[in-house]
Amino acid sequence: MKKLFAVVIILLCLFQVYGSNDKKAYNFISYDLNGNFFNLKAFKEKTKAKYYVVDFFSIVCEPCKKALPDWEKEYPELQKKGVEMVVVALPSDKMKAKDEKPLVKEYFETNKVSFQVMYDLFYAVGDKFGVSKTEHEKTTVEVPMVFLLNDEFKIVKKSTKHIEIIEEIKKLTSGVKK
Amino acid sequence: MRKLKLLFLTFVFLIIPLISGAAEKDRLAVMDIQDSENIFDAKTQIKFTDYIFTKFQITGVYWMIPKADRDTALEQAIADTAEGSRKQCVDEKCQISLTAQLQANFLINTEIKKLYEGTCQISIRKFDVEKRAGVDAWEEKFDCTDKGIYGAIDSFNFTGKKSAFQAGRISEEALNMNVEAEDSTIVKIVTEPTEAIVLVDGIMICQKTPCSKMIAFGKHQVTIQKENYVPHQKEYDVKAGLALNLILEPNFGWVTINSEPSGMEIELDGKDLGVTPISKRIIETGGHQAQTKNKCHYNEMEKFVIKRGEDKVITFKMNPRESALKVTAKDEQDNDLEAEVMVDGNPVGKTPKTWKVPLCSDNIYVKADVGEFTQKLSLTEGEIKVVDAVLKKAVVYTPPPASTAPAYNNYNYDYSSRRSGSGKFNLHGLMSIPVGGVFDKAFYIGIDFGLEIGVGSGSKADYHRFFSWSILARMGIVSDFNFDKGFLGMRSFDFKLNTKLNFWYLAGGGPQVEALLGTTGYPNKYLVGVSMWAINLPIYLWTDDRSGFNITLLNVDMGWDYNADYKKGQIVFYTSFEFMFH
Repeated sequence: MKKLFAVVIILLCLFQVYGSNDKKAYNFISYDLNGNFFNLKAFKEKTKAKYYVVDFFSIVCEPCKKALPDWEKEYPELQKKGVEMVVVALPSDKMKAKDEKPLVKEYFETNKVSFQVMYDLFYAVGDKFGVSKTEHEKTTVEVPMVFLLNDEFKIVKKSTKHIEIIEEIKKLTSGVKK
Repeated sequence: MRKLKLLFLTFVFLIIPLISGAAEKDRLAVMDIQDSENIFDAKTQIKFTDYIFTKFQITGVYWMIPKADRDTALEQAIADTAEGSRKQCVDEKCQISLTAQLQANFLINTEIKKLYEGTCQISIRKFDVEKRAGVDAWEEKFDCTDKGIYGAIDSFNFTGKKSAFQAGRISEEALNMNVEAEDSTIVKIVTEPTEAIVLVDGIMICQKTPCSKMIAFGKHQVTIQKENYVPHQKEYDVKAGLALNLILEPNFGWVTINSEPSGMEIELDGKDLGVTPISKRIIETGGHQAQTKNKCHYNEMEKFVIKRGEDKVITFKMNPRESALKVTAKDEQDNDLEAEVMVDGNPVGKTPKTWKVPLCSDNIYVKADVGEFTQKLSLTEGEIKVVDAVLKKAVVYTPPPASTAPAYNNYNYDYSSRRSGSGKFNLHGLMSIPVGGVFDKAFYIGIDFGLEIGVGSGSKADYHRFFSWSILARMGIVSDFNFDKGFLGMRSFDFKLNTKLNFWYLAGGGPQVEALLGTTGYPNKYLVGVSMWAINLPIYLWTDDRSGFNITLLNVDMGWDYNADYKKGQIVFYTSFEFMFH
């Protein structure tokens, strides 16, 4: 009986460990800088991409800005390999979220990119990915942060270094043609 | 005065709708009516929701979130908060998630319930997302009929209620209008260094200084910022003629990173910085982390704080990762030996023994009287590599003494006579027997006699990098043979004047480039062309007078045979045996 009990406990532990893995699907909806509705699921149906890069950005984040030219350079090649990209701009300050949107818009008008840029006004996407966190009415944002999702919107890789994500994509898509 | 005030107020109220139309409106999402008691059927409920949606829309105050967007968000919010188990998103957590995703500033929830027989109540609540609280509510009793509910909704004034936000907005827009209208001036902003960003009241007006921008009169908070510089923030009273000339204060320090030994890759804050020694790199103030990246050493890391203007020097003392070598030595007869061991040229001791050595050691050298042994190393950290060295006699090249063996130079292994070395002019006679093939199924055979005069440019000692230039005059008798036409007759006389450039890379011969001008042995037929890639193999039988013979293994002549009846051009591949008489 004791042995049986021990086996059950071990199995439960294993189940717990297995269950703690992040199997969550990170589908999201948002609005781009022009107020157009964006739904990742619909985007997938349109693009048929196999992987999705979700790059969290903030206007006050210099590394985020520096990464954009790299993404812009890689983007056509990534698209050919079935990889799509979305930038999610997070407000740097919750209290100024609305005022900051024109600044972000102006930034992306000056520094044009080929991929879609969302403005996550209320940190809905940021909270979902755990990039933003609100405690005691104060929101903290952890950027740069890049996620690579598969076509089930599950996280394949997460990194603060965009280069690592690019390398991972290259590894995953070597020899892949869309 | 009263009239003036009245006029002003009229103007303000007239202008409000225009302004509110131009600015970005608050976003409002209208949720489906909650009719838990099923007083109305589903279709009617949808109609009521649409009616409320329209009522809010016609106020012109809000940007209405489309129903399709709302439904997608609703689906998403339910999935996120209740993993699909809940049919409706009614609890606060779900609604907050929904509004956040829709980026709605306000959410409208409507509930219908039966109070008692023949009397129902409609409640509409406006939820402020930012405040996370209900900010407005409309409630009315009706007779539980369609007509009754429409009447109740019509009785609500969705614009007339208090709205703090709306009041603030009127004031803000009115101020902006003054700015745009007339009370502004152009302000020139110059900074040192240039390319700074300028924000006025939190709004970016200039991305790169210097710039000139129109700013409204009055007090404004001006922020000027540039990476690695202290942001300048100050309130300015903007008046005509205001110009801002600012020197930004640097907000960086320097870091110098050395290592012992040098040549270590350094990563600063997760980014490659270069290889040590790294001198005086600009670095922003604050906390940083530098670390080495080297597979042969234990990596070192240092966290440090840079203050403004500070010149920080970091020196990493690297400890090599270690492996071990167990070395034994034997001679070729399998006798164990005591031999000296060197790793990467550094003596470590005598065999047999085991030593700790750096992981990335490149080679081992074992030496004793009986011989030596060398081997490339490939070591693994923490493991002992066994090297059983079998020492063999080293083959050492010892040049023969000058008195007993002919020196390998221009004089004795002679190019000076044959191909004009050492800047000397030379003249010698030769005889060759060319045997070769031509196009058009023909080959020729013959005998040439000639004289060669040349001058060389090599030095006596540097015999292997020597070239010479010579002019060669030949006369000979040759015959062409065509496979179809047979012998084409003996040429009575064949004269060629060649100029050659010979490259003597090796003692045995080298390629040559030759220009040809010659006769063919036929009347009025001449040969003009080039010859190249001759591989000469001179064999000197009599080294004292430099006579011998030379075999030209491959000679390619490309020429043009004027007026020949069976060939227009020719490429001749031939081997010639050339006898030289000095």
